[in-house]
Amino acid sequence: MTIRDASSLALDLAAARAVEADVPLQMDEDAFRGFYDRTSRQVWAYLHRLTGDPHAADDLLQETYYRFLKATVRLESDEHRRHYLFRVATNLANDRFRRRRVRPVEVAGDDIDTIASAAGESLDGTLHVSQALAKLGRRERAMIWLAYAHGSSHEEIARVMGVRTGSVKTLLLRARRKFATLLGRHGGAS
Amino acid sequence: MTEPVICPRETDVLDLVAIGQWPARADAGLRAHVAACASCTDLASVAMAVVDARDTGAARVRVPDASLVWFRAQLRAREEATRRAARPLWVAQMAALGVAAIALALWSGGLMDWFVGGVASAWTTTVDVFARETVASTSPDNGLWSASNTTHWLLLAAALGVVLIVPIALGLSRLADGRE
Repeated sequence: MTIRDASSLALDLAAARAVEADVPLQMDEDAFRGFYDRTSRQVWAYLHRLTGDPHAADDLLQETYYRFLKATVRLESDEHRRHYLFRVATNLANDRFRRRRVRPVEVAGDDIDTIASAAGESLDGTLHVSQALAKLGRRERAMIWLAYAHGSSHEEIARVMGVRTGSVKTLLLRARRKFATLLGRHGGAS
Repeated sequence: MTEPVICPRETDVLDLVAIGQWPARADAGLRAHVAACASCTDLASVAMAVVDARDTGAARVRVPDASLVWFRAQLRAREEATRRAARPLWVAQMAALGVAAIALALWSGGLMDWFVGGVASAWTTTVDVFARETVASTSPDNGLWSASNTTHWLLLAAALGVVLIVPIALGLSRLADGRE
């Protein structure tokens, strides 16, 4: 056996031990399948709304579930796991934005058509929703989507977004007003 | 900043929107309230728009199969563990290289005297040549520069290469591996 072979063998053994001793994944494969099937579409739609880019949503979906599986915190209930998952997704979308320093959702023309088409929206009435969402800030968009597409409570949104519950009320109300104005259906309250 | 006023009837509106029954199942009182309440009007229009967008989009969302996501996660966890396991081995390799360099230096102690003396001489000569060039604009090929000095400089460069550049290059390559 050469020195190179010995070194390679030592590395393999060390890696095998490290994998065994590594942080265990959050759940086993069967449990993961169930959880993934229940949540992945919602997570993808959320990431798509946040990034405005279906390819980015694909990439971030994989990363979100990887980080979820490697999480060291104890996630006891399905509800808890869902909140954690959406929090990871939110952070990843924010990181992506910071890294690229772009606002990919603020697009027009053909890109809006692509977003609408990927979201299955018609090119008349509902497309307006994509355009209006695209004009909101990232946080506003996330809050609106969590509150009305997922039916999340203020406490749940606060946990996902990492802000105080009291702030969610104010921020969500502002975002809602802005969104309603963009949709052209604002009730008129100041 | 004033606390936002949230209408107590928002929950009723939201519940009906969530089950797709707004305004169909809303009673006349709730409809009349929403028509008069700006906050509830905003809520109803926003919630309905978002729910519509969610429902129409959901049918076309294509996500990878759970098995694929699980397999990729496993593979990546293994790669990261391998990388972590390789780190102490790399530190040991670097330490061994350092020890070998020191041992070599100690072993060639006699040679070092010659080497250090030579380097000192080469340095003095270099300074002298540059000084003459600056002051008298003389040719550098004036006999002061000898083959011995060149040898000493080459040896010094080689020693620096081994002691400094090789570990730095190795370290940079490891960092590059880590980023992949």
